[in-house]
Amino acid sequence: MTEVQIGFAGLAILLVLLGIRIPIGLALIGVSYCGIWALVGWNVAWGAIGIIPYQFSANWVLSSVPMFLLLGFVSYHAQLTKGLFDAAKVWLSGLPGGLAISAVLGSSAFAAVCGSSVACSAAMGRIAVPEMMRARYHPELATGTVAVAGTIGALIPPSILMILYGVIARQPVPQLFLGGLAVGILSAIGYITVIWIRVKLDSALAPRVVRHVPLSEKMTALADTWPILLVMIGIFAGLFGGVFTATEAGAVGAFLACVVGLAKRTLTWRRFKAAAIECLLTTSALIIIGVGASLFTRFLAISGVGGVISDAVLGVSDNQMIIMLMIVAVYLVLGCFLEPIGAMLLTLPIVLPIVSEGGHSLIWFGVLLTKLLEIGMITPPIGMNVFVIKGVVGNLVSLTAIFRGVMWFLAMDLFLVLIMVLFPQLTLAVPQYFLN
Amino acid sequence: KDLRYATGFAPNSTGAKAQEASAAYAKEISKGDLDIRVYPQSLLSFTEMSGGVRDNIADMGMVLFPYFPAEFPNSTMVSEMTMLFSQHDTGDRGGLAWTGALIEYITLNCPACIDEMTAQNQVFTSSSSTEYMMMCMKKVETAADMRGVRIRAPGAHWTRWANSVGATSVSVPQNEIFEGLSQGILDCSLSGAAELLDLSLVDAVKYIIRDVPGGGFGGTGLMNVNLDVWTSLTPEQRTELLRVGAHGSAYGSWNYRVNNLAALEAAEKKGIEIVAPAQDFLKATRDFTNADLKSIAKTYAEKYGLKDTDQAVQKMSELFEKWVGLVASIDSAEAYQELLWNEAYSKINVETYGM
Amino acid sequence: MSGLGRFISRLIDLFTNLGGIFIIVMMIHITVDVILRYFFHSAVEGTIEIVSNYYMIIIGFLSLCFTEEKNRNISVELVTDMMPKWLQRHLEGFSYLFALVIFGFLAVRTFIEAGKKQAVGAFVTQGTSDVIIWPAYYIIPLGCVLVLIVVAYKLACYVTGSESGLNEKLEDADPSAEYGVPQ
Ligand code: NA
Ligand code: NA
Repeated sequence: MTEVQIGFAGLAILLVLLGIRIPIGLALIGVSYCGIWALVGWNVAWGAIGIIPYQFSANWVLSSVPMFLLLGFVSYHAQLTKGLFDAAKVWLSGLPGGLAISAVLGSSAFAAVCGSSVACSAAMGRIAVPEMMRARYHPELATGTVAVAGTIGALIPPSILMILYGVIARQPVPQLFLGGLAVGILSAIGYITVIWIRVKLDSALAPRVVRHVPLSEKMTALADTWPILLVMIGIFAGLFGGVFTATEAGAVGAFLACVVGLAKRTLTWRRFKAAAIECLLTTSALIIIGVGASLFTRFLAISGVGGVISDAVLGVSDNQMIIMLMIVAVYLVLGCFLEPIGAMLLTLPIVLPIVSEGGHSLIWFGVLLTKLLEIGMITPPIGMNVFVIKGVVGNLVSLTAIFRGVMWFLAMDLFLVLIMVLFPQLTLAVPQYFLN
Repeated sequence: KDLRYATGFAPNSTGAKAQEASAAYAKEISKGDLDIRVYPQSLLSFTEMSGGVRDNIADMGMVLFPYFPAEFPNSTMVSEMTMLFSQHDTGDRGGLAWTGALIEYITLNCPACIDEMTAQNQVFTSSSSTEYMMMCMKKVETAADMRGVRIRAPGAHWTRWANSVGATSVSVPQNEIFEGLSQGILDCSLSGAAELLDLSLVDAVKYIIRDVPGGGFGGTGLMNVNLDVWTSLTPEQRTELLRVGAHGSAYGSWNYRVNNLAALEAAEKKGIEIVAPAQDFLKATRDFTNADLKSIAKTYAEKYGLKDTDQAVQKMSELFEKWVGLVASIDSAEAYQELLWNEAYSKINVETYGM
Repeated sequence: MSGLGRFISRLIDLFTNLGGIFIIVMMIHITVDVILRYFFHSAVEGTIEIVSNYYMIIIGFLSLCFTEEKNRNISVELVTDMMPKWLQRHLEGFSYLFALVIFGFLAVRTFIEAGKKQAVGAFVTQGTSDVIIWPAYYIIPLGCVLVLIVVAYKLACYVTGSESGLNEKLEDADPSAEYGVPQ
């Protein structure tokens, strides 16, 4: 077998293992081990599993993930978010799927303080999903909405993915951020539209609270949102006031949430312990998958599979539009299996020259790429955001159901990607406006 | 012979591109025998590099010694001496002189360095270096201006210097330098000029301070080769690999110099002010460096139990001075590679080196 | 066998509480560092290295056994959901075997790696401080061994067909904190 054949065989075996319900992290580790063994020898595989688990986990930037998770869990258990959703209920209950819509709006607001989509879906998932379930929303709608809305976290700045792209493609990060802001907002509008249409078509998905709310009650409800607003304002002010970095924001935010919870007397030791334990559960589960994905990326890098897929697709035509759509297709396929950073590192060396020689803006492509990789976060079989929501809901909703809930939004995402490819100006308008 | 070369640099960065060029050079001089495949970031990160080369995940890799001070104490010690740059007014040639001096030091003058590489199952073959500069959000001209400044100082020697002038050393990971500066967590960052473009620092920074504190990243094993792989090669192949090492060292350091100058030009076009430090600031820094060289030798002897550290610091200082003279008139990467070969590489015995 | 199961559950609780404590410590450590830097222009030296090398490793690996006990490992049910119950049960047994092999490999290999790091006395330097990191390398094999205990026990229960006695439910934080379970 050639190296590339071994790579494809590894992919196939991975699918089989996932199919028979081997935990994802373990399947990735097992396939990578055997794959590297087959490609370059036992000693290399043996070396890799000794080095990568530690080095993947002992990562400062990654440390923001448990802290943002803790922020979300504490906010939820200390009932800081209760006011937000009561207010949302009161203000948006007139709309079809009002709670789901406010989950999207909440994610968009939270995205402004959160660099990764996993952390964003984790925090909002803990806050919004139980509220929707309690309001008897259909579980697929409730979980799908939050899994998808989490992807806004990597589009609206700050964004870890865009920073990495900026470094690799040598593009100015602030411009990428501004482009991401535009696409993030468009995505949010798109998701709200999907919710609107779905609930219009089938009102049983999201039972409506039909009652007239006097303005005074609406204002009272708004006033009750102060706990979480205080935390959010604290995070914003600290980030933009030069007090802490985006990585540190998780810890400080969690600390703020604790302080507010204590002041409100809603944070008991028992509740804090529950928050910390859920944070542990989710972090452990994510880290073992991260270690697996990290190993799998090395396996694919050695096998050269990423290059072969790209080459094959790009060899089809010399029409720029077709090449671009092919690149989109490649990333949609890769996104099904790979974690975004790995996918980016594997493919950019091949894809970047093609994009720039085609006369495309690398800022535009960076934003498009982030959007594509974020779509990968919600597509089966490996969709990290969906896994995070699964972690939040435990055994209440099956993974399959969450993926089903995501499908509707996926259609909207694909439509948005098409618009981005057809009208690059849409993405570039915001950076260009601020540049002049 | 197929060889996997891993670097922690991102694809398309100055560092990764130089290594691609060396891979092409390897193919050329070996007439296709040495087929080096470069993996930028996709195979091993910098923190995984030493273990990865040791266990042959990559056949060769870019090992940064200060990341592994326990594994490479002798090499890490000399890497703390780069503030010598400002001692000799090396300007934009400090990296060139350091690269030559370090290669000559480790391969021919420091058996302890070679032993510590062997213990990690690898062989040192090349290096590269570049000048670091202070990039600031506020104007720093005198030593007094440094008081209370929050600075990212990526090395123990710079941290000691920062403390000596009353600045606060702040730890921020490399990929957060940009937001650290633009959001005001950092007042200054000590970075290579190429990072103005590589990390887009050019969009944040307002002032670049020349010559103070001076120095560069001094502990790069540009292409450390797995010892088993090295042993399995024929002496001819090893010689070819050393030539590739000389090429990588020369082009790496030279390209950094060229890119630094281009980045500084771009910075000036963007309206970033290049600040020349006041004489007293420069003098205070030089006095600090003199004292620090002695304390480096002392610290490594006492804290880490190294032997003959005074002689080691002395030897490296002499070599550096010699190389400052050697690189002063170098006008191309080719000529620099030739110089590295004649002064250092040609004296390595490939029958026994590193084994 | 359920007595053994209850014992294992208590052992896991011990390490989970330890992990929980480190989450608090991590939050406070980073916050204090930020406050010192902003208001007092000083810092807790080594924060980044301690957070990355100790807290992250402890949080990630020490409570892996807890994730295993509560069946919170993330897997794809897509295909198995459509299979008959008896087949699902055997596949579950196979997944325990699979986990046993993987975590066995990881435990041995990361233990060897920890030994190498201890032999050189691995540390990292942040600022002017040295942070000793080799002890952190032992946390990974310890975490793997704890998972192995849980997995081996579950496999034994599957083979013998006995009740596990493990506490697989997540304790309710607070009866009044509504989890949003539709009745
Ligand atoms: Na964000
Ligand atoms: Na996916």
